[in-house]
Amino acid sequence: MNNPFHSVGQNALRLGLAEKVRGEARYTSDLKRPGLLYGKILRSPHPHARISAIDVSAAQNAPGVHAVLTHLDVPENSIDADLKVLDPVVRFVGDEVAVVAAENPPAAEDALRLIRVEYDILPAVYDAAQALADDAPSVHAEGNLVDGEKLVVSRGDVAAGFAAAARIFTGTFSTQVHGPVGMETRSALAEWDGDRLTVWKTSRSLHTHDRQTLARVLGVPLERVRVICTNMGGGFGNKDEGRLAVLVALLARKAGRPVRLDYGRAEEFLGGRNRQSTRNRIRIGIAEDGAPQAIELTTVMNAGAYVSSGRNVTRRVGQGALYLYTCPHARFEGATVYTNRPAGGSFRGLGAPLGHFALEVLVDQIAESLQVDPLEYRLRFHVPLEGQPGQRVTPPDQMLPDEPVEGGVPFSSNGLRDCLLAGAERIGWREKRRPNGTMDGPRRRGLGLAMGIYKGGVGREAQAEVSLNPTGRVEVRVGIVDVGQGSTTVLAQIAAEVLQVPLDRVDMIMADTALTPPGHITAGSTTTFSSGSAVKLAAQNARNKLSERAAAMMDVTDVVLEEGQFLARNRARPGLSVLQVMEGLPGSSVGRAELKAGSSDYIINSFAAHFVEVEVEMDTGRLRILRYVAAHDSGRIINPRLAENQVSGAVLQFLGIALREELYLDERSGVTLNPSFLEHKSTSIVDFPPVEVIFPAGPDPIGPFGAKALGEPPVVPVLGAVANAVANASGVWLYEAPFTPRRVLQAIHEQGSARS
Amino acid sequence: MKPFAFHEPQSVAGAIEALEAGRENARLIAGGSDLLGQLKDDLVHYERLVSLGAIEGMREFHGDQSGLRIGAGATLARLEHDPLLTGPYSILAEAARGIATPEIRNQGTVGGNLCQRPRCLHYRSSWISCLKKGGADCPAVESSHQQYLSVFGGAGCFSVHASDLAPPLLALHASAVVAAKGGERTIPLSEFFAGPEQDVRRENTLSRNEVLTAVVVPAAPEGWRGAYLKFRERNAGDFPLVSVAFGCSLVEGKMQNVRMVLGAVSPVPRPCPEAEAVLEGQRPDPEFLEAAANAAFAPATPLPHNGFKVEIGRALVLRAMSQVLELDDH
Repeated sequence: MNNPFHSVGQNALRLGLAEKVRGEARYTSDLKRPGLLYGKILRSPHPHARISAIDVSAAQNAPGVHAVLTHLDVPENSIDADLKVLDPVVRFVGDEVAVVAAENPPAAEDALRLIRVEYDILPAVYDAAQALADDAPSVHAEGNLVDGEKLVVSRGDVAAGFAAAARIFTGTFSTQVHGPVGMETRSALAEWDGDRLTVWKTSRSLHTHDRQTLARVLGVPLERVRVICTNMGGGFGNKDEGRLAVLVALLARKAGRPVRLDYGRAEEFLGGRNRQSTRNRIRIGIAEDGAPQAIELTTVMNAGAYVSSGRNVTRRVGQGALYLYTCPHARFEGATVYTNRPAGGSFRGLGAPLGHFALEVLVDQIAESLQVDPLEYRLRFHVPLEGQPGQRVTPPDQMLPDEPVEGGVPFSSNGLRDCLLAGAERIGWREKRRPNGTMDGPRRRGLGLAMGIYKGGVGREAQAEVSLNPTGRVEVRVGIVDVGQGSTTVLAQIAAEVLQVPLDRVDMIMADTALTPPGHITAGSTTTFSSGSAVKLAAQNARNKLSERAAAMMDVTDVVLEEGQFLARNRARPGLSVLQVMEGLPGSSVGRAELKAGSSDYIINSFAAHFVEVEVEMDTGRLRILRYVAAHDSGRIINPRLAENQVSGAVLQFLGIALREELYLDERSGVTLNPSFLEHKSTSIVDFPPVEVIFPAGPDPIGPFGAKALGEPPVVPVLGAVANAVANASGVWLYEAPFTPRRVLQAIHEQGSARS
Repeated sequence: MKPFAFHEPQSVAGAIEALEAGRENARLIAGGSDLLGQLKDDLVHYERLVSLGAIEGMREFHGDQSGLRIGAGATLARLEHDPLLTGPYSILAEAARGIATPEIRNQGTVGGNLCQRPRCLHYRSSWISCLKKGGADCPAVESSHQQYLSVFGGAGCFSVHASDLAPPLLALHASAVVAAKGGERTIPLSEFFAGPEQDVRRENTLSRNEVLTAVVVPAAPEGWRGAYLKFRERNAGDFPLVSVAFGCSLVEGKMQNVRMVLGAVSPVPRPCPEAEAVLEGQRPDPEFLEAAANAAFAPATPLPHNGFKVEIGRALVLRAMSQVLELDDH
């Protein structure tokens, strides 16, 4: 593709890469302050209990101990509606009971052993369906159904759609609890200077979450709270939730010294926020020609003990069912349910990959039943550029939701067809694919595919400042956190593009509430779109000022900027370079931008089609991923290398989730049995298949330089693509993730495909 | 982890002395890759750790016509790479190569691998009481997460021995050299391991003040070849769900000196004399191989949620036999 840009579309090296490779990049748990103390957390050994007595006197008097906090010592203000700073009721094994700050970590750990707690044991419930029963133990006083009602969203009239359908297909699919496994565990450091608080922490949302929560819960004015994230070692949507920052700030206040608390790996699995398990029942009614007439997805999500972002996770389960296929009638119903499992939270893709698993496997079953190639089925019935049929509901002048339901609204761009065709071509679909279950022998190979639709588009409110300095440096200030996805680099490329300066002239200042304008949460795959738009506009504003300055310096009325040179419009004089004009500035010249979110004309979504070749060992149930092709429409790609890494990393992450990652709960004790890298089986380096990434679609008309979302979309189709490939190879459908040898063997037995 | 004293004696005699002086609360440490994890997870506590790391003799590594003598302190990485381990002994290198990760193989030792504690998920959780930790019963028998438990019974405790070196060493008819205060004794490795019916809190017959100093492998029968196959959920950094060591020699087209040992399916590594008997003296025809695989697992009594290990185990045994006998992939 012809690239009309000098910085956008280039494979710029990730900014800060050398520091990371050399081990010089400083993460929260590397930070020290004078007089630093170390915190440790006492965790509940019971899944559900009320603390009837707690004695910390021995711990407080232990050598090196400076502060101990229990539920009796903390502010009344809650962190979330269902999450107190510390609670006399513990709701899962691993729930926080008390915290200690001491001179060194072993002293803190020793002090934990001296805390005497008496518990009144309460009945516990771990299964979401059981938790909804009338006689189930209540995890929270308000009941186990979060918000007291199910979420229902719909388009058209599904009952009528099913009544008119020629055939109806159904399936029930479930997905597991697992940990997000960022390589860096959670950590926070708090330091008070009088009544001013500075907190360094692992975070994806300094301005909108951490700073607000700290100020509100601690009763400190917002302007006296500063939050900083120096580097993130893996975000995956998961590090703003929980009690950690507030507890560390309270410990530091009580001890009168700075305190840092780092989660261990087991704590990260227990006290972090995990992926919730779901059970998803899907129904699709089709017309004689195979066209979907009604789609209904019902999900029950096990949120664990605290809901945090669980509502959004549930809502997102429905996205594919509601919008991926052209269908007049669609309905989603989601129950979010408290149980005494460790708390769930947000994680890459929210519920979308879980709902897409159900949808995309059932669509393959429909295609098989109709004896239609599943690629052809999707080419015929995927949602087109024009969006869904029906009447627009949102008033014309209002912003459209980015989780679309209604019909009658077009997409800004829709590359599903490009992705299907390019991905099929790359993997050799038409030459290689045979009908499901026609292979034989002990090792059977097959191809599968699945599509994905994901939000990210209409974005979030975003601000940016771009300063042009006489030193010849450009400073870009944005309040967001680069959680490792590379947004620092991409935003710098956008600024460099607008200003026509080399990328190495741009300094990025991010993730510090004292140095940046308010920034949005790094969530919903929106940084490039939202903050990218803000940086672009701020840079344009700065450039406009610089143009005026150039015109004055050149003594002309009007200048144009071409290839880094300001030229008189009539080209009558020699030009001045951008850097020459900047160096002539009397002081910094600042361009600012503040953008509202949204579009009132279009739904802005990203799309994908994934293709995978697998081998199934029929005698052991082992799956091997042989080849993976991920085709994505994320508009114009600002940095192809980072984008390819983003996609291949996402695919590898979700192949681990598809094949083996799961947190096991012991049903008798409520204990999580495998909170470790050994037994929570993330993919090892020798298990990684090659992942080929292609971006066959063109630029989006709305996004900055035509870019759309990319962070989460590549996780969405993975489960479905793998399950469909297994069905193609073995003739056996998988309904339960992860697809371990045990489950594959079980499916082979239950579905009667005999060993050769 | 609670504090402990660390002793580093220069000799085996010094180690035995230090163990004795530590009474009930002393424990040997070699590479530490298992023990330190247990200490950090608060599964066990010892007042005194007696390191074997400074005892040069523990790292001996000899081989000649009479066989091999491998010090208990030899690292797994040494086994993986040492040129002595060819021919019939390559099965040991193969097994070592599949253990954990390169970092752990650099640190972990032969003795530590044989003396490792079970990987039972319930045993490994400090929040759960179990027989092995002095508790009243086994919580794992009623759990639905039984993939790392025995399919051959368990006398109350159903944890398995997960050593990857034990099956091939047993197949090679290795012995353990055990040092005690009075001197040294050599016992067949099969008598080194002991299941819960003897003492549920231990997995071997070492007494408190004894040190496993070496394993001795006799000369292998002429033409004997073996294979070690390990089935696991991921191909690095993982313990076996099932493993098998198989070997034999082919004399005039007939199998002799047939050895088969299963790993990770029983409280101690499990030799399969019935399966060996099916094959001994026979030609490697598919019917015998099938019969041997069936014989190996015929006594299996899986728990409610680990029957799949029997099926995988049979397939693995067939593969191991095919590999050694150079038959087409079964």
